[in-house]
Amino acid sequence: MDYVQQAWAMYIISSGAMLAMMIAAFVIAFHTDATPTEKKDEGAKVKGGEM
Amino acid sequence: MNIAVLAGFLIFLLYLGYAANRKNKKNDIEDYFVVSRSLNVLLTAGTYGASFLSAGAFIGMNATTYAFGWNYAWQNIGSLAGPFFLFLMYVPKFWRVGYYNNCLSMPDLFAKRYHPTWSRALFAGIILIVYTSGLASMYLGLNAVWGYISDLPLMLIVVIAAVVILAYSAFGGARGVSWTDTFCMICIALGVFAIVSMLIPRMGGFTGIIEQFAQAETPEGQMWMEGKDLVTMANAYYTGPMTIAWTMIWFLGNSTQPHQVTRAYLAKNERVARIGIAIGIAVIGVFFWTSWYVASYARINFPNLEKADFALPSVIMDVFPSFLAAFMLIVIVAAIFSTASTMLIIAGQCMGYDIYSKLINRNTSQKKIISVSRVTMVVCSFLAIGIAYIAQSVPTLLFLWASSFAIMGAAIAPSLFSAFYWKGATASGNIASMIVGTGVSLFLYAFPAMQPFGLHPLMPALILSTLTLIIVSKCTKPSSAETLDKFYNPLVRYGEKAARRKGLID
Repeated sequence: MDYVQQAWAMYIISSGAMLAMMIAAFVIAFHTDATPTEKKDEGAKVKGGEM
Repeated sequence: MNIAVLAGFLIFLLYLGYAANRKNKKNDIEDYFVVSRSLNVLLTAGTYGASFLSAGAFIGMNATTYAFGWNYAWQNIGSLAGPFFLFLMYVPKFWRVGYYNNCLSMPDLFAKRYHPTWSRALFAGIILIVYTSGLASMYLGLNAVWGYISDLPLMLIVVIAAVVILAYSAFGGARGVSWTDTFCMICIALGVFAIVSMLIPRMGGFTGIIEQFAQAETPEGQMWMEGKDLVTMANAYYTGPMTIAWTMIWFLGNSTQPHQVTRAYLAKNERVARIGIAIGIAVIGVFFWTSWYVASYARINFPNLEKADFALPSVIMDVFPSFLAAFMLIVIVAAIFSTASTMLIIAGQCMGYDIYSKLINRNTSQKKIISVSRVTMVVCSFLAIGIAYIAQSVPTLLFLWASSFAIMGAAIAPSLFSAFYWKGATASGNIASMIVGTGVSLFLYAFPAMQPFGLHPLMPALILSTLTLIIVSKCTKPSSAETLDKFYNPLVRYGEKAARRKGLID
């Protein structure tokens, strides 16, 4: 590859990788459950043990 | 006008620290160190993003790309992969371990997973050493902008900055830091938007930029790359192995640095933590992308800068009208302040909470813990000013900043990953791994001639630290079931809703 092609390749790979991480982060974040913190004191019970 | 804008910025930060202090009604350590785990999405995004984007990113990244070429883009992938890995693998578990086991710091987490005394003491000690030098590199980042802001001597600017950062961090606690960070992050996001909207359209097509950048020559007396080497995938400075080592530094540093990781503790739940950090990742990603244009514009138009660190400020002064240029310089200051303040409060917490209240005086009061933390912040600030004074001649501040990342990465990364993903990791393995990771990286920094095959200190330090963790863990007493339960029970491992769906809890 000549130097122009190398620069373009770096630009596309780097921008693409970073864009993919940004999009994946949003998709995963909005599919993450929240622990209901107001129930902390009640303590959800683990089967076969205590928290 | 620049000095007036800077003065207004500093006064507003102090006001936010004062307002946060008034809001800290409970005045207990959970409120002071983790804001009672109450931050919403905006504040989580603000404190995470602003803590991440430092002088190293604003000044160092553009300076290195300016001097050595676009192949720094490989390192940017590693830099963003760090927070993405943190987001993906650690954040929800980290938040839940903190919530269910009442962890307030990363040494606290290590103390509960590994050895209650030595894991805590070693980790806290590493943080204090690394963050004091990290603070110095933040202060030195002001060197790149102070000349544009005022005629005052650099060290006077450093002292003023250190005092302001100290005042709002020590006074306002984690709430003050998160509020000021969020304000700084808003400024940073506006600054990134300004660069994207004003600089990039002005530069024309990318192939044209490649052609122009590839014609730059190295000025006399500089060790920079020139010509086509600036746009190729590797060159004599950033060879393949060197690029891999640096990419690992940023990846490991950004996924293990306590001043970034602990931002997850502050969120009100793991969903908020993840959404906040996702927003942070988006702003950071766009900012990294701008370096293609900022660095090449600077090298094409200002090829003879005295220091590469002046690349971004020179572009700002050339491209933006004066009122916007003043704002953009403040954006750089905001990035420096926000990272420094988070590092400072983490250092204070290490001494006040982890070392003093957990190891020296277990019966102390919460008020005393906060007082010890505040005194530590004062001491760290003075020490960092001293280091900054001595290190003024360091070629680019990225060196000082990267060394703190490398030491932290080699010492902490294997144990942090194993805390959540390898039940076989033991307390002895963790202690030995942290000692080997820190010791080897410090030794190789001190004696560069001893670096095997010319490898960056991180690589041998990380390999040896990981091997030590595995071998010592295999040879020593396993962690107790009670210890492992804190990290591997269904509530921590999957979260309450998912554990319920799987039928693991009632």
